[in-house]
Amino acid sequence: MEQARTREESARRIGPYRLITRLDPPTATVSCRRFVACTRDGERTVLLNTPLPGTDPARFATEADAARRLLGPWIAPVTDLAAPGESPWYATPYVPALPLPVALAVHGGPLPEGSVRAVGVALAEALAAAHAQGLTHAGVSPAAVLLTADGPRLSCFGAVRAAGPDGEARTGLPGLEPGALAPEQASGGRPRPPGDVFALGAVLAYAATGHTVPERDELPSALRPVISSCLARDPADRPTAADLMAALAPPTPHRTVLNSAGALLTPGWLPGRVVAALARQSSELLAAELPTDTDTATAPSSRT
Amino acid sequence: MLSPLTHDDPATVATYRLIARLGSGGMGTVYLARTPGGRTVALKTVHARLATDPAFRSRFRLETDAARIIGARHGAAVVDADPLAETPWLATEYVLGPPLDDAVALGGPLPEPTVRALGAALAGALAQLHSSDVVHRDLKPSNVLVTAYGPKIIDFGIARAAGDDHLTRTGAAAGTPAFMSPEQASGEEHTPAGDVFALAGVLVFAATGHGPFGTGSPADLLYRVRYAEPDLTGVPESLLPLLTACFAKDPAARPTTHTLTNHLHDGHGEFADHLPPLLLADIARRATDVWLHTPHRLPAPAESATTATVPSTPLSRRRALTLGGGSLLGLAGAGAGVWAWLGTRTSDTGSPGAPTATGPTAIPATTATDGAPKALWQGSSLDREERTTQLLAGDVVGFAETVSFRVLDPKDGSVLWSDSMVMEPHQVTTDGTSFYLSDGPLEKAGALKIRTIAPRTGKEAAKTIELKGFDGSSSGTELLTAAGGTLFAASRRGDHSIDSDVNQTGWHLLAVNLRTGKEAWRQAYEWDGVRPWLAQVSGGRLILGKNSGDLDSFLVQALDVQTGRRLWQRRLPLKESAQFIPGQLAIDERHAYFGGDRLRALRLTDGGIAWEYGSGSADTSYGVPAVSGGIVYAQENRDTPGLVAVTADLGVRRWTESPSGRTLTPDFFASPVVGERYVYTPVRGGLSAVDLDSNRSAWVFPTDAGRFVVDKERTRIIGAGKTSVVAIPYA
Repeated sequence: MEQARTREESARRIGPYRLITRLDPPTATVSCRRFVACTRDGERTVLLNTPLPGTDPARFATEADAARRLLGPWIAPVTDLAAPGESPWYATPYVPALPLPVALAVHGGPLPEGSVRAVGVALAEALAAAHAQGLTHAGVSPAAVLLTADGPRLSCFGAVRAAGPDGEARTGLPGLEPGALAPEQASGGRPRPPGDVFALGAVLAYAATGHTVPERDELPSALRPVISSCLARDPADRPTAADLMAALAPPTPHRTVLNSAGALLTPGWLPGRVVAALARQSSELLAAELPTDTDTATAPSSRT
Repeated sequence: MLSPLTHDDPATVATYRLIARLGSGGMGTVYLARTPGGRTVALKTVHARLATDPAFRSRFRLETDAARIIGARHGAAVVDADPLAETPWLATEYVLGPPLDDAVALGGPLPEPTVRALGAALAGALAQLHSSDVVHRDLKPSNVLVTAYGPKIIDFGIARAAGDDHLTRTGAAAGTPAFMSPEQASGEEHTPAGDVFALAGVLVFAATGHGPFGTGSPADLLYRVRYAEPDLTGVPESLLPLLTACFAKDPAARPTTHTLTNHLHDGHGEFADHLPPLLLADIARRATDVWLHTPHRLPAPAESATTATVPSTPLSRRRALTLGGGSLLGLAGAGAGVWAWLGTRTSDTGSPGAPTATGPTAIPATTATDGAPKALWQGSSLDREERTTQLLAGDVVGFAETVSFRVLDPKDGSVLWSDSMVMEPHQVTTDGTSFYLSDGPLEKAGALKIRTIAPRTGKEAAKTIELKGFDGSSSGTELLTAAGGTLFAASRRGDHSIDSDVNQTGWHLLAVNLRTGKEAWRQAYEWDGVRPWLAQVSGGRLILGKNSGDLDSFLVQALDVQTGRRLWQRRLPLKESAQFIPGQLAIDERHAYFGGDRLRALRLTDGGIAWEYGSGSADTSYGVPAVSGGIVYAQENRDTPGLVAVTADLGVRRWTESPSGRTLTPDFFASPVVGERYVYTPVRGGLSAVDLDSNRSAWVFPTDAGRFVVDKERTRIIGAGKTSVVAIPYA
């Protein structure tokens, strides 16, 4: 969130929204450009996603349209979409959120095991729900995971499919995190659920160590077997998302399919500095003042 | 937290669109609001009726100045303010963090590292404030917001520039005894060292969940602050020496803010590292909830949509009146902005939409609006402590509330005038022709001043009476009643600046000749920490009642009006004190009547028991009675609770309330109102009219008002409650 950028981009409008700031730092590996934006009257604030420059907007638009069908726990729901013919974008309602790499940066290193586990169960739950609907997310990566106050949100649906068509190698395509790309998808295979599980393994490895491709002994011992199994080269050797939920969640007598993450997302699941960064983001955006239509030429004024 | 706007909240204040309510108190309402450019702020507004008072405006302006001085790091960043607007307002950042008292309530006492980090940051904030020659004077847990980046100090309601004491009076009244410094409690200068004392109290609260001087009546607290040692039970041992030093009675002996910062915390880590999980989760939730809130507005009460004095939008009535009504000059104009005038619409009695109380009181469905009359007018109450006392004088009604005294025209509910120097209900009384207000110097003892006020105009109707040697402050004086040219008060003699047990000694009952302004007599009495007195004059006797200090009995006594000589005294058992709190005195020419375990009549001549009604068994009790026309009426708590009517002379039962098919929960603490056709009895959620012919509840008027008086001249009952004041027809 760089204030210098804010003013420069505030003149920019996308659909009914005016851009307030970027969500990601400039160096992030992320499959689309993400902005915080709000309607002209300031009443609705959203996370707005647009295609990366140099990528195929049509493929992006297709995935954006399909993303509307993806509903479930820990999913950032797509609630608004570019009209046909418009440059593509889609929007999800804004709540304060930090991309996982930003969370590691503010925390000053890998997240505690409890946080990793909580994120893992929630994302496994989100994927299990998607897979049960016959959807493959095909966009799981560290930057696609947004940490919010009450749990993670999975975004960037379909990034792998948008990046390049099936049948062509996807190695090195812009926006794709190489360590989170399952080998079968890197070589051009159609994204299927085991690829999501691989990517989730990479995300958890990243959360626990700071790398998507960690040395085996970098991983906390309690998480090592389950993360390693996700990262198996052969898709058939990986657990299913539902298996993962069971493997990561502590056994509780009341667990049901839909609340297994809840038991882990209790106070303390996020480290203090990550909470502080969420609060700071929230206050900065609350304080953001966009030029009104009548005074776009001048900086926001105050009578103080 | 965020709650919806109510129907009479304005749509905008200045250029700010209102989004939600953040809170409401005696001084005004705080909203979440948005600028045209989309910036979201906390917008604090002052009640229009207070805004007409220059003293209040000054306080508000000082508060905005102080908020700017402390700045965004240690306080809520000031966005903009207009202390001169008709409704003065202050826009600050919306701070994402709970007040410290809420934080402790949520997760219990804070761990030592949190207390240390909090203390060091607060000491730093105070240092900055003090270096700008501002002393906070009201540091307490509710004025400290705990954010993820450190505490922010808010509410400089009584902050002032050092050496500037023109606001001393209001300042002391708004102070919080539990966290006051001893010098502040004695009316002396509260210097930066006083803030250090208060800071230590805040840290004791953070570490233990209790204040250093416990709880209790303001007078008790003031006494303990001045003379008692702080209770540091539960404070981590390593903090004891430092905090003990902060509690030195001698300001000069206390550590400086600089010493505190250095000794509390070594500065390692970030503030958030030291916060416990529950507190962090609450901060995260607040940071998120503000984005999830959908602006909406509670609907107007059914009636006001049809009788609103402005067209179409039910939500903008207040705004239309304050802006469109335009009268900056007249108190009535400003008052009309606050008081939703509902008018009398007798023509459409068939309408099911009788007015309901504003506010959250749930009205049981079974007490719907069957035949209840419509409100003649209603408005909002500002007394969240529900201590409003209605006083009838001349042709007006006064509401003595915890923040001010305002006077209304009972005909239409319009505000005639108000006086915010009165901070406590017991600072006002009446003899039915004038109001008497005591607002002596609040910090320095030495004089009790009594002003005589003409009811309708609010103008002084006689020379101010000044009685030297008495403590006229709100904690040192209580006006009891006035009758026959004499005013009765309880007041404390003594000079605060002399070290003596002035809070506990020196209390007198006092009679003042209103014509000459001279003291007629005084009688010393022993302070037991409990107020107020209930007082009424009957047949040359001043009858007084109050709870005893140990709350296990109710003391009644009679004094000779002429001499002050005590004629008799009696203790009545309050066996079920939790169930029964005396409210008003019921007195006729022969007896005084009291509820409790039994209904009792005491002879006014000697205090002897004339009769008792009821078995006195553990499962029956009687509420505050009313007497009229030779009959005593009281709520009786029995299998099916209801009204009982007993003859006043002998205590013989005449009738008891018959079941009406409604489930009514009587309010035993408020006395019934006796009319010619009905006896009006306060019940939960409303006022039940018990028909004197059928002895059944004929209807229930839904309201959250709990105290009622009758204005017989204008045939209306005037009620006051937590959120609303209301007038309904009397029959």
